[in-house]
Amino acid sequence: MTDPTDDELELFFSAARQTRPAPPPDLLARVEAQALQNMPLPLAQATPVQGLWSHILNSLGGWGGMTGLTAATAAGILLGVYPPDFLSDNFSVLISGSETFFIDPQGSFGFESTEG
Amino acid sequence: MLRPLVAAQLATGGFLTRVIATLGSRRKLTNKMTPMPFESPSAGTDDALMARYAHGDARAAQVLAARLTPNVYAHAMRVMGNAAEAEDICQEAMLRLWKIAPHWRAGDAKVSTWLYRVTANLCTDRLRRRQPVNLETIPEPTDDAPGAEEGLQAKARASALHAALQTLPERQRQAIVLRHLEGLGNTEIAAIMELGTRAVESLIARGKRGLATALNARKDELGYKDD
Repeated sequence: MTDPTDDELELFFSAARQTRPAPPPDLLARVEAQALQNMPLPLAQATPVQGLWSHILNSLGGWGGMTGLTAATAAGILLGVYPPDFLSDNFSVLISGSETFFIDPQGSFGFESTEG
Repeated sequence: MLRPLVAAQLATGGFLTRVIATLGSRRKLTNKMTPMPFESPSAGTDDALMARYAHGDARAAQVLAARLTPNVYAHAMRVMGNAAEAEDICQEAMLRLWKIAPHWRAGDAKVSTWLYRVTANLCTDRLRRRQPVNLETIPEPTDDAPGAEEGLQAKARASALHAALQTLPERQRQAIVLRHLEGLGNTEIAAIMELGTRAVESLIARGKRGLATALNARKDELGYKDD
């Protein structure tokens, strides 16, 4: 007796290819469950790189804060250039710089009354 | 530099595998997965699906599992000849696939080749712990379904081949399964088995001689003629 030839072996291979072992359904379910269990966290949404201007704007409170700051600056300049009459004389002197203006921070405040 | 090292570690089950398993982020998701035609081009290549899975796409996991699990299971089942062991190997191989996904670099290797290599290594590990198998002791799959004589003969041949495969040395068995049952080319088998193509050809030739010898005793029963 001789061994099977290549052609004869091919009959066996062909038969085996037609009866491919299929995974049991529960194996596929386990593999899928394992996949979800080991799935990496979804990446966080990439935040766009902030420019310097955006950074400054955000630190000042955004466009709302910027509007308030601009209005306050304009009002300050206006008050400086055209001081209203009801402001004190001392304030006018301070702004004009024509005279020396002395302010005593202690004044007549009774610090001694707060000491032990 | 790191990624090939990690891939090799996962393929061979090295120390890094356990480190990655420990450090890897884990999260249970409750995404409702929708059916998808797994083999359709719109489902994406294996590389693309690996990238999507690595970014937390549950549907990519489903497609990859449905696409690759049958190959892994069939390979393990044919090499091991035992359903329980084949299932264990299949689960372990697929687990390594999920763990390598964040480190996977498209274009370095085919996902299927890498997975065949992992499966082959897992089979080798198990087979080396086993005692040698006697052909007479291997139970053949039974099928009581009625059918034409040719169909029955084909099933008998498939059963006989599976039994004969179990008598081959492990490397020859792997090479025969990959070449003649999974239909891979010698170059891919060489990559899977980490051999040269000449060595693969030699393994296949010796394996076929071994199969022929094992099957010769049953030639009358299995319907092929003597020369």
